[in-house]
Amino acid sequence: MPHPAEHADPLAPADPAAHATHDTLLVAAFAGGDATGAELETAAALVAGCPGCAALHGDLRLIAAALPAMPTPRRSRDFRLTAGQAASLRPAGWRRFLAPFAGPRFAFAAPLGSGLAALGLAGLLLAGTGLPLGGSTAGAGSESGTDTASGAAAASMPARAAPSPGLMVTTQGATAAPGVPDASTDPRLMALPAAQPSAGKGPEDTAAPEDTAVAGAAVPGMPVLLLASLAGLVAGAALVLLRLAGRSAARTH
Amino acid sequence: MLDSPRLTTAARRAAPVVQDARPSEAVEDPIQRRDLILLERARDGSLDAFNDLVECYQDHLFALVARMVPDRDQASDAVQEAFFSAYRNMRSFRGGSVRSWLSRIAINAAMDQQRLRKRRPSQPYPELEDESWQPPAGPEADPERTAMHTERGRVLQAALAAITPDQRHAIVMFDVEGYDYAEIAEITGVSLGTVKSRIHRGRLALRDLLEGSMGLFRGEEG
Repeated sequence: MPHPAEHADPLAPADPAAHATHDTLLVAAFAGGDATGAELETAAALVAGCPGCAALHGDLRLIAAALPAMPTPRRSRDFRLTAGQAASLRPAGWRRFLAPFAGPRFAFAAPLGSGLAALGLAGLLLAGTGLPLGGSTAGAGSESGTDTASGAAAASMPARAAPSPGLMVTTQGATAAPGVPDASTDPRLMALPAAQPSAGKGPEDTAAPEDTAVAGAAVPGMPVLLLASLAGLVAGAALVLLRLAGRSAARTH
Repeated sequence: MLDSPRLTTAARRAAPVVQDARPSEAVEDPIQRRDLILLERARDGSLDAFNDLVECYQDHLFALVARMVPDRDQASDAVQEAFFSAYRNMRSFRGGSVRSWLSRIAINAAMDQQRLRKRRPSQPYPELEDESWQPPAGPEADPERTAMHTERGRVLQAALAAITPDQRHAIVMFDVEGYDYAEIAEITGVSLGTVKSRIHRGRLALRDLLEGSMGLFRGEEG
C-alpha cells in the first residue's frame, strides 16, 4: 500500500513537520463534509499527508458522533402552567382587542395598509397641487385673471375643468363655486382684478348663472379624489398601526 | 440520527389521551395530529390542553435548553419563559410542526438567557456536579461501559460549556437537535457561512479542550 503522502497534492502544504501551519479549519470543514472544490482537494491532501491533520480529522468525527449521544439533562421542575399564570398571561383589556392583529391571519395588514397609505398620500398630493385630471388644463387658465375668454371657456367646459380644490374664481366673478368665498366680500379675493365685463363683450359673453352652476359641478371631481385619498391614507395608517400595536402588545405582555 | 436522544425521548413519552378525533387537517403523523388538536383546544381556552402539550415537550425542551444554557436554573427559567411565550402567542402559530415551533421558542428563550447572562454573570456551570445529569443506561449495559459513557458525557458536557455561546448554540442545534444549516441560520439570524464557521470552530475548540480525554471517545470505537 502506498504511503498516503504519495497521493498528496504537491501544491498542498502536506509536510507532517509543518502541521502547526496547516489550516485546521479546512480540516474541520472536510470532516464535516462541507469542503468543496479546491478546498476539498487541499483538505484531502492535508489529511492524507499529515499525521497531525489525520488525527485531528479522526477526532473531530468522533466528537461529532458523540454529541448526539450525550446524556440527557433531566428537568428539576414541572413547567405546566397554573390557572393563575394562565390568567396573567391571557391578554386583557386593550391588549385583548389588539391580540388578533398580531396573528398571522392579520399579516396582510402591514403591506395592505402601507399600499393604501401610499396611494392616499399620492392622491392628496395630486389634489393639493391641482394637477389636471382627465387631461384638462382649463382650470389653470381660469386663474390667470388676464384672459377673460379663457375664463369663460373654463366656465363653459365644466366637465373637463380641473380647478384647485375648493376655490374657482374667474375674472367674471360669477363663476365662483357655490359655498366658496365671494370675491366681492372676501377681502383675500378683493385684491384680484375687478370683475368687470370686458369692453366689446355683451352679456352673453359673461358666464350665465347656469354656467356657474355647471362650473360648480366640476368641483366635486377634486373633492372626491381628496376624500378618497384621505380615506385611503387614514385606513392604511390605521391598518399599519393596528398591526404594529398588536405585535408590540404581544411582545411586551 | 437514529441514536438521537430526541427519538428515545419521543418513544418514552406517553401521549395524553385525546378524545377529539376531528379530521382538522390531513396530518399523517399521529403525534403531529395530536399536537394540533391540543393546540386548537388550547386556543379555544383549554388550559388542560395546553398543559398536555407542556407535558409532552417539557423534557425535550429542557434537554435542549440545558445544553445551550449550562446553568440549570437559567435553563429552567428559559424553558418556563418559552412555555409562557408559547401560551401568549398560540394564535400566531402558523401551522406545521408544533414540536419545531416550541423548540424555536425555547431556543430563542435560551439565547435571550445567554444575553442576559453576559450582562449578569452567575455561578459557572453548577450542574456539572449535579447527579441529575445521568446518561441513559439500558439493562444490557455493563458497569465498565456505563462508567465510560458517563465519563465521556461529563467531559463532553464540560467542554461544551466552555466554548463560546454562539458556537455552543450552533453545535447543539446541528449535532444534537439535527437542524440543518439553513434552519440554524434562520433561527439565529446569521448567514449560512457563519453557521458553518461556528460549528467547525466549535468542534475544533471542543477537540482542543478534550485533547487529554480523546481516549474515552476512541475506546468504544475499538
